[in-house]
Parts: sequence; C-alpha cells; structure tokens
Amino acid sequence: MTALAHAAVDPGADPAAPAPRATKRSWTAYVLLLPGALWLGVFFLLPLVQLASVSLQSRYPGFPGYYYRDVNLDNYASALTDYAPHFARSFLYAGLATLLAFVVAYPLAYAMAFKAGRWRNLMMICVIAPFFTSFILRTFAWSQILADEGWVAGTLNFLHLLPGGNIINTPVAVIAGLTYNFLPFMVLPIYASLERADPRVIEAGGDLYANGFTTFRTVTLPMSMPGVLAGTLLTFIPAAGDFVNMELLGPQRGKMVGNVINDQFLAIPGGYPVAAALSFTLMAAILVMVFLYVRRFGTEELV
Amino acid sequence: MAGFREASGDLQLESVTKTFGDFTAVDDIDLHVPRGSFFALLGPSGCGKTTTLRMIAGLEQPTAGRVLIGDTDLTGSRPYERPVNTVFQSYALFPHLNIRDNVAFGPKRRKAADTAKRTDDALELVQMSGFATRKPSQLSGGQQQRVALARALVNHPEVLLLDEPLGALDLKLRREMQVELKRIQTEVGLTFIHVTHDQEEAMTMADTVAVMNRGHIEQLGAPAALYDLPRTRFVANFLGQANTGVGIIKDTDGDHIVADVLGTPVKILKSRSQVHDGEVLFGVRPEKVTVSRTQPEGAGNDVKGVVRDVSFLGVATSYLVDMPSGTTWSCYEQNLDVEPLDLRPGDEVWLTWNAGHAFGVPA
Amino acid sequence: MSTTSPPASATSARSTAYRPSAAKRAQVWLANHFAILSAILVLLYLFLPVAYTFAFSFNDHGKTNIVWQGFTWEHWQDPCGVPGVCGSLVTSLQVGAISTVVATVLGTLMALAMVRYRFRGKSASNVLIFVPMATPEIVMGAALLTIFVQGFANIGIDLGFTTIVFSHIMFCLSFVVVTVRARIQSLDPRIEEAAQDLYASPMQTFWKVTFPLILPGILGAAMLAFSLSFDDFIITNFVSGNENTFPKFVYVASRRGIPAEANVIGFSMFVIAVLLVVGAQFVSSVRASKVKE
Repeated sequence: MTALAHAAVDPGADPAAPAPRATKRSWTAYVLLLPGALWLGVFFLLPLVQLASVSLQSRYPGFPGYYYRDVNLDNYASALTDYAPHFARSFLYAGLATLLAFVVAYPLAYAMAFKAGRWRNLMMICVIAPFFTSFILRTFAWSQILADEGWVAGTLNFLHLLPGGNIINTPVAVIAGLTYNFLPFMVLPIYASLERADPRVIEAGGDLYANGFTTFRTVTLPMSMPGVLAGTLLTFIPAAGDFVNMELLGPQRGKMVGNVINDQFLAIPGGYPVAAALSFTLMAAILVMVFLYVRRFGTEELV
Repeated sequence: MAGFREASGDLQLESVTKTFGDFTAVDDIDLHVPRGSFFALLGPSGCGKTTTLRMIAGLEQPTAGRVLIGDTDLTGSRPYERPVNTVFQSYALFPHLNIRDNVAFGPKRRKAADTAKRTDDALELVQMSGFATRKPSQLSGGQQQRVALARALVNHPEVLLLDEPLGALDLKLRREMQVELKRIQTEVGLTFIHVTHDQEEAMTMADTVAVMNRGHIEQLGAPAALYDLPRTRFVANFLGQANTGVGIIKDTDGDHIVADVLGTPVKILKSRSQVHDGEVLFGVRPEKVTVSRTQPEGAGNDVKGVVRDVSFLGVATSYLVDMPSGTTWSCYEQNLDVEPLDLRPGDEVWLTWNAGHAFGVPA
Repeated sequence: MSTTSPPASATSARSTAYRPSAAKRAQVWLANHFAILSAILVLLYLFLPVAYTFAFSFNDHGKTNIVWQGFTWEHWQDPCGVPGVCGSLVTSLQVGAISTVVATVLGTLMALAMVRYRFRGKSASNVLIFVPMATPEIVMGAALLTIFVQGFANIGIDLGFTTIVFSHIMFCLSFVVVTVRARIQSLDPRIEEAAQDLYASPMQTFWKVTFPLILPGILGAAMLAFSLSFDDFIITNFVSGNENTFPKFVYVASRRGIPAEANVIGFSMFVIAVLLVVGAQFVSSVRASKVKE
C-alpha cells in the first residue's frame, strides 16, 4: 500500500542513470558551429583586435587624420582624464534609467504573469508593438512631447513644478528617453521568470506573511531575480553606450561618452585613436560591472 | 531500410557491462529472455535497469558484452536498425503529429505496404480508434499511454521494451493498464520487457522478474518463487516485507539448521537457507507469522513480544510487535475468527511460525 | 483506501476560520488592481510616442514637423514624395531580409551544436556568443568601422550595403542562437529517441521530428533578427558610408525636422508588424480549436 502510494508520487525517475540528454561527441558539432563562429571571429573579435591596436596608435603632429602604429597609452590617459565626466554621466544616466525602468516594468510584468489571464498574449503584443516603429522616430516623438510648447511642460509650468522652466534639452529628458527606449528589455525577462514561478508559492507566502509588501520582498522578488538580473543588464548596457537620446533630447553641453566616441570617429579628423581608447575603456568598464554584478546576484541563466 | 536487421528468437545479453566515466551502471549481466514471455526488470532508482533497457533498444552501446536476438548479434547496431521498439517513460509522443500519424510513423519509415491497415488495427487493439485525428496534447495520460503502446506494437517488434510505462498514471489507472497490458501481451504474443521500480506491478504482470541492484541481477525467477524464497538480503527486503534478524548458525537438526538470533534459537530448512555456517540473516514474511495470547503447543518456532500497534484493515489486521531483541516485527492476520483477538498496545503475545516458511540469506 | 475524508462540516468550518477580514480583502483587492491599473498606465506610456508619430503624419507642416499646424492627407497620398525616404526604406528591407536569412541559418546550426553535442571549446563558444550581446553597440560600431576602413577597404570592400549586411548578421547571430537554443533545450530528448526507435535514420529524425518541433523557435528568432536589423541605427551609422537606411534617414532628417512621410512609413511598418503578429496568433488559435472539434 505505502509502496504503491509512493510509486504513484515518484514517476520513477532514475537519477543515477545516464541523463537521456546524452550529448554526442563528434565532428558534426564543429561543422555546425564553424560558419557562425567564423562570422563572429571575423566581424566581432577581429574588429576588436583592430580597435585595440588603433587605440594604441599616435597621431602625426600637424597632419590631422594620420597616425602611425605605436604603443601609446596616452590615448587611454586622455580618455580617462579629459572624458571622465562623460563616463560618469553615462553611467549615472544609464543607472538611473535602469532603476526607473525596473520600477515601471515590474508591475507590468507582474500583471502579465499573474493577473492578465486570457489577455496575456494581447498584453505581450502591446509590449512589443511600439518597438515596430523606428527607434529614432519614437525618440523624436518624445522631443515633441517634452518640448516647451508641449502639454507636459505646459502643465508642469502651470503648476509651478518645473524650476528650470523646461524639460527638453535637460538630463531629465535624456533619462526619460533612455528609460522608455529600453523598457521592453526589462519587462520581458522579468515576465519570463515570473511566468515560470508557481503562483501557489506566492499565495503560500501571502498566507505566511500578513503584509503584502513582505510577501513581495521575501517571496515574489527573489523568485523573479534571474529575470531582474537579465533585465537590468539588458537595459543598462545599451543605455550606457547610447548617444541618440542625448543627441535628440539632451542639452548642448554635458554629453555622454557615446556622443564623444561618435563625434571623434565620424566628425573629428584624427579622432580615431582616442575614440578607440574610449570605446575600449567603456567596454572594459561595462564588462567589469557586469562581472561584479553577476557575481553579487549570481545566476547561471545568463550564459 | 538498408541497415535493418531481421532477427527472431530469444533475447540474450552476454556479459553486458556499461560504464559512464567512473560509474558502472551495469556490471557484467547475463540474461536470457525466452521468446513471448513477459519479463520484468525490477529495482530501485539508479540500479541500472533503464540503462539495460536502453542497451537493448540500441540507445546506448554496451562498454563490453553482446546483445542478441536469436542468433543475430545486434551489438553496435543503431536503434533504427533493430527489431525492437520502446514505450518510453512519459510516452514521448510526437507533439506535432496527430494520433494516427504518431502510430504510422514506424511503418512509414519502413515503407510498409499496409501502413493504413496496420495503423487502424493497432489503434483498435488499444481501443483508441476514435481519437485518430487528435493531437497528443488533447489526450489524458492514460490515453497517451495507449497511443504510445500502439505506436510501438504496430511495428510487430520482436521485443517490446516498456520503460516505467505506468509511472505517470494514478493508482486506479495503473491497475487498469496493468490488466490491459497483460491482455495485449497475451494477444500479440511478443516478448515484453518491462522496467519498473514498483514491485507490485512487476509481480502482478510478469512471468519472470529479475531484481536488479547496483548494476547486478540479484535474483531472477517467477514472482511467487522470488517472494517465497529470496536468495539475498536485498531481495528479501525489496520484494514485500520481511521480519529479519541476524543470527549465528550453531547446530543442525535433521533437515534444519539452527541459528541463534540474539538469544532466540530459530530453525531454517537447509534447502531454504543460502548459508549453512557462520552468520545468517533469518527471515519470515509477516503473513506467515501467527499471533496468539498464549504459547501454542509444540509449534517449535516461537517468541514472546509486546504489541506496539494494531491496525485494522478490514480483510486483515496488522500488528507491530516489539521483540526482546529490540527489533520490531510486523504480522498480518486474516480476520477469520468470529471472536477477534482484541489485542491492545502493551499486551504480551506469542508469535509463532512454521519452520518451513522461514528463509536464510547471507547476512 | 484506509483514510477517510473529514466530514463536510469540518471543511466548511475551516474555510470560515481562514476567511480574511474585510479590511484585508479590500487590501488584497487593491493590490490586485494596483498591478493591473499600473500595467495599463505603462502600456499607454509605451504607446504615447507611437500615437504622436501617427498624429504628426497628418501634420500640414512647412519646413519642420515639430509643431502641429493643420490636418492634411497629403503625406499618406504620396509617402515617397520626399527624396530619399523610400530608397532608404527599400535598403533597410533588403538589409533586414538578407541579414535575417543568413543569421537565422548560421545561428540555428550553432544552437544545434551547442545543445546536442559535447566538444572541446564549448565554453569558449558560449563566451563568443554571449559577449556580443553584452557589448555596447557603439563599441561594435567603432570596431567594425576601423576594420572596414583599415582592412576591408584594401580588398575592395568599401563602406556601404555589403558592410551593413556583414555587421547586421554579426549582431543578430547571438540573439538567434540564444532564442533557438532555448527552444531546443525545452525539447524532450526522448522524442528524438522515440523517432530513432521507430526506424528513423538521423537525417529523418531531424527533418520529421526535430525540425518541425523547433520551427516556432526558429521563426521567432528570425522575427527578432529582422526587427533588430531593421531598427538598428548606431552600428549602421558607423559602417554605412553613403548608403542610407531608414533609421539613418530619419536621424539625419531629425536635425531639420523629420518629414511627415517618414511618420507615414514608420507608422505603416508598425501596423504591418502588428497585423502579422496578431494574424499569426489568430491562425494558430483557430488551428488549435479546429483540432479540438
């Protein structure tokens, strides 16, 4: 009797038996992998190597746009000193945008996972759909919405809630733009991890802790942590490297590092070495942050 | 199909070993399964039964040894080259195909001329004809189970492998399917090899049961024989319950050996003991033990104990009795008497059994 | 069964005991509706710029399309009326189509290798796939620009359509691998074993069972790749030379005011994409309900 009852619960998994996901060892793997890996090698790794070598080159004095192969760390020194405020702004704005995106995205992801019912698919489409309109068009629309003549600034001014008198061309507009543009990257991973969670666990949490906020903090949030982690990275990384929001919504002075790299490469003759050094510094800084962040809130689900 | 190997006859495993790295899953197994029998591989999780099954299917290749059907050596051949089909644990039906296409999958691959008729017959056999156009996700667990069975049987394999086929079903459905499987096996007359960790399932369905543990076959035989006379400690404990005690063999008495189990002398028939000197694990099944208030006359094998617990089960009453040796025995009495014993925890009782029912295995 | 269920009265008594107080229920109600209400607000926020784009496609504007000046159908009647806008759209569609096909094929092969095989260098491959997704676009754009200018130009490949396609395939690839890999991983390996057991050769197993089952993942990955490619501006801006894609056209135009024709095209793309997605959902749900009958 007990044996049968036990058997009915245990589906008879054979844990010590070989995992049926028996992976094969064969040359086929390399054949399948090769074209894609080659592509990433030629168009991702090789360009990075080239960029690294450019970042160490020196300029010919007096010949803008010409430089020679060298091992010159001055470019990095200049990147870190002259442009330190730009880095600081990039990370500050991206960090604030990530935080705001989290605050805005979480209730939406939560509602989609637990409250939407049969509207779930429709909500999913609604989250993705705005992103079928061009990124630049939407950002430009924000510049219209936040413009001095627009209703947002008008209303706030009328209520005397806007000390500077305008939103457009301020860091606030830049952060708002960044938050908006990368929001789905926050919503979708959080939704995915909440959807996998068992709502009964949250109900049990609600049973154990009277306070709804305590339930959220001790049960719901930890369960969605892998999604939050992925979402913050997917938001922060592109936001830190972005220059379009600053260009379309931000002030004339006090740019972000993305703008500097863009200008140095495309507008300033002979800007390549410093721009390359800036790019490398940005990438290194982000990789270090990602590494520390993942180690702190660790999960293997990212890779 | 070019590589397909026709084979017919008994299934044979010769010194089959399978290792995964340092772990030996199956250790030098020999097995002979006569054609047309219902054979069960029974054992706990991780005993190597599934690996054995997968080697017969061709989903794993043995590290050493051979797999044969009749005189045909199948070792090294791929699963699609063998006249063997499997009913997978959790069924593994193709979710994108309807029931008919699931069942017709095998015959189509072998380009059978009468695919349609065979498919209909197989669905008929498992009583699923009315569901041919459904998708697997629209069937219940028991129905999926039947389709998985039809999908394997439609190929008329020489050997049909069943990997915990009833594991995901609830108790009532398991019972039904046990009867159903047995009926189908009798009807088609194929060799069935059934892997399970459920001893009751193995005993009710199989002609022959092989009990596996740690990659070895501990004992092989008819279910009743295994239960009546286990030959190892593992089998004694894994198949049903047994009241056991470790003893030292002191003496012989005619056909019996006499062992001392913590001060109590017990007799075991020589033919029912695997050891004849030194240490022995004495055992007797709960239903073979009689409980009485007074010491019975001349029964011989008896011991006094104290009742710990009484459970009335309807057809029978089960007692837990604390023995002087410190162990607890379980006894199972059919409720035949008009006036029941009416024992309560704390009562002193005598337990007796027929010496012919006791068994001895290596301690 | 030896156990009996508790008498009905006991059950109902228990449920009364556990019934939350009115205040608690109000709190729960509010909590439930808080999530839904804020979700609706967030969705409105997401659609706000789209609505603006739509509205300003009817703006009877002069040189700049920033302030509302009056209603006109003009831009919808001739969306190609502004020089360059439709050319850039065609370029974007071509780049998107080619990049999607190549990235989806290469990425699917890689995903199969990553899930189904054990091989030396697997973790290195994992890193190679992951790092492009963790690299800011501006860094990739800068790196590609240097290699194209200083390397590829020497072998006759100048900045333009080809370099855009090369770059787009690269950054779409990782996303395809990750999407398809998730689909393959969710596949029960026993289903493929069952196919082999039922006499399907490895090739037949792949085409009859594996491929149909991972196809939704592959299509999803292709859609993702197309939308990434179609909407990319930052990398394209670096590697496009004189070639104009739609986002680049809009960005350049934004300095003087985007012509309303671009709004017409941008909003039409939005409508087409939404119709495609909703249509696909509808077809699959109809198919599912048909099977049920």
